[in-house]
Amino acid sequence: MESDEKIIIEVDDQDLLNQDDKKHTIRVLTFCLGGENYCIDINHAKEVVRLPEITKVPNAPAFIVGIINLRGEVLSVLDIHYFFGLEKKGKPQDARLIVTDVVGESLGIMVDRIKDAIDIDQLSIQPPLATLKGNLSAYTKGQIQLGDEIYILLDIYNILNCDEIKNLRKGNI
Amino acid sequence: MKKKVLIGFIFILLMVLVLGIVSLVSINHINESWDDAQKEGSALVDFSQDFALAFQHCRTDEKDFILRHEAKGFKFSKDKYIEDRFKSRDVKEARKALQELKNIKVIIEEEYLERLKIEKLEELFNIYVSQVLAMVDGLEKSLENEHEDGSLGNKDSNFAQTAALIKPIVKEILEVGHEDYKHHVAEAHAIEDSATSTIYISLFVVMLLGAFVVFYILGVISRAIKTLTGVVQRVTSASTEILAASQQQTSGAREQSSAVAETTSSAKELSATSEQVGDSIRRVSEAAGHALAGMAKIKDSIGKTSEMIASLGEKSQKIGKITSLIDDVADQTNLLAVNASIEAARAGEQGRGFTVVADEIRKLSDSTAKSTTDITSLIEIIQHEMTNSIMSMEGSLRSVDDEAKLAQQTAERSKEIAMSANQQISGSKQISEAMGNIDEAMKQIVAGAQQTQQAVKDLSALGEELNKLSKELE
Repeated sequence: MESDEKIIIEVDDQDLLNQDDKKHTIRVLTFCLGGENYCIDINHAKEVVRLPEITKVPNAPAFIVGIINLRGEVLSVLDIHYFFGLEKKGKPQDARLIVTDVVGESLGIMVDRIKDAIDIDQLSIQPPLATLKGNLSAYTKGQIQLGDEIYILLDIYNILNCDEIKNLRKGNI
Repeated sequence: MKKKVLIGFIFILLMVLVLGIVSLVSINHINESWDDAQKEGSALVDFSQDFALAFQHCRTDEKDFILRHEAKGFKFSKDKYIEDRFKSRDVKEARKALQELKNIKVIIEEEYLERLKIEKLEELFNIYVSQVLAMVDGLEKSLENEHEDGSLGNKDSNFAQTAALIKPIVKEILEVGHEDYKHHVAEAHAIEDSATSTIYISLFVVMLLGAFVVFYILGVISRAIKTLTGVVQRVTSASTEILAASQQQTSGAREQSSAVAETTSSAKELSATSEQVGDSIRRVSEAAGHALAGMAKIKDSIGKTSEMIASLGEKSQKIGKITSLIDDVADQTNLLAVNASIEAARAGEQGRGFTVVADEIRKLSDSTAKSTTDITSLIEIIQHEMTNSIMSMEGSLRSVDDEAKLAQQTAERSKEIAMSANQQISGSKQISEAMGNIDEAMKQIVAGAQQTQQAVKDLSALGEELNKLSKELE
């Protein structure tokens, strides 16, 4: 951890706001989905909240769990297990909602558990494995080895701009 | 037999009585004859002798009177002697004799009247007396006339004549009396002889009959003695058997007495043992009571411990609740830290310092969560062990209950044992008493047997004596 801090201190002057810039480190939010470790760019997250009471929406697709009222703002809750063919695992009280506004409007993404917010070296990001399915590889930026664990870095932007969600947003939300 | 002997004796007695009566009658007869002889024979003699004597006295006095008269003169005045004699004694006696003679005459008139000349004698005597009285009167007269000589010589001759007449009559009477006496004596002798012979004859007859009866009785007694001898022999043999039996009885009774003594001592030992058992059992009962009380205390303390453990469990549950609260707080803190990190990242370069703080906060919350997890697991362990403790305590409680039941059963059993020990004690006391009674009875039996032996010995001695006596009698 101290080495990480040193790294953070070393990259203290670097501009992290711009993704496209060739910066050495990025900060990611790690979480669990179906027993696997995933992470997203922390800048894609707006906030993390406990799973509130979800109101079911009729005729909604399977990946839409429902809608919630977060401090007066109504937003849809998306279940991305669907995209990766995963099952929910872990305690229900650990389940969290990551609120994101990367597509211009707020959406809630349901995860099994929030793990951490850590800095990673961009160079340590490996390209997505060829064995991944076609659509899955489109949603990932690569994987990172951290100790014994492997974290898959998801591309929230692509996920939320997939055809199903795009069509849905055009129609309903 | 007794009747026969009695009849024999009565017969002998009767005969002796008859003999006595006969003897008495004979002796009476003899006495009567002798009395008759004396009365009838000697009375006349006595009288005639008395008369003769009186007459002799008269004569002598008369002669004396005359002689003194002749020799000394008329000295009558001073000498009243003769007068007195005539008046008082001799004349009186003579008269008396004559009166008796008259009486006799009346009695034996028929027999002697012809032979005796009593009337004549009386007549003569009266004459004589009158003559004497006349002489005395004459003398008195001459005395009054002082020294006048009387015609004594004439008177004297009258006296002599009359006396001469009286003398032979008296002599004759005397002879007749003597003869009569002799005759009576001979008669009495004859009667005595006949009575004596009668007595002898009756004595002989009585002796003969008595000998017969005695022989008869002797035969009867001899037979009885023979029977008695047999009986005595049988009694002797029986008494020997009785002696042996009673000796056996005595020895048996003594053996029984010793057995009774052994039994009594055994019963006493039993009683003592029962008392010891009772004491031990009482102690056991007390111990069981103590154990019961101890069990109750243990049960009580186990219950208290259980309650304490239960309250500990409740407290640990409360701790768990608090821990979950802390966990929740840590969770929220973590969430806040994540959000802070996101905000810091969105803040760009300005938020970098805040990122560090958020990381620290998140780490703290992580460690808190880890600690609460540890606490939770520890609480779980504690609760598990508490459950185990409660279970084992319940087991202990059950075993304590079992022990208490056992102790109670022991107490009950020991009470029963104590009761039965008491019963045993009273039973052995009763045995002792009964044995004492038996012993007393045995002693009485022994004493009775000894008395029997003594009696049998006496009986034997008596039998021997009887045997001896009967042999002597045989």
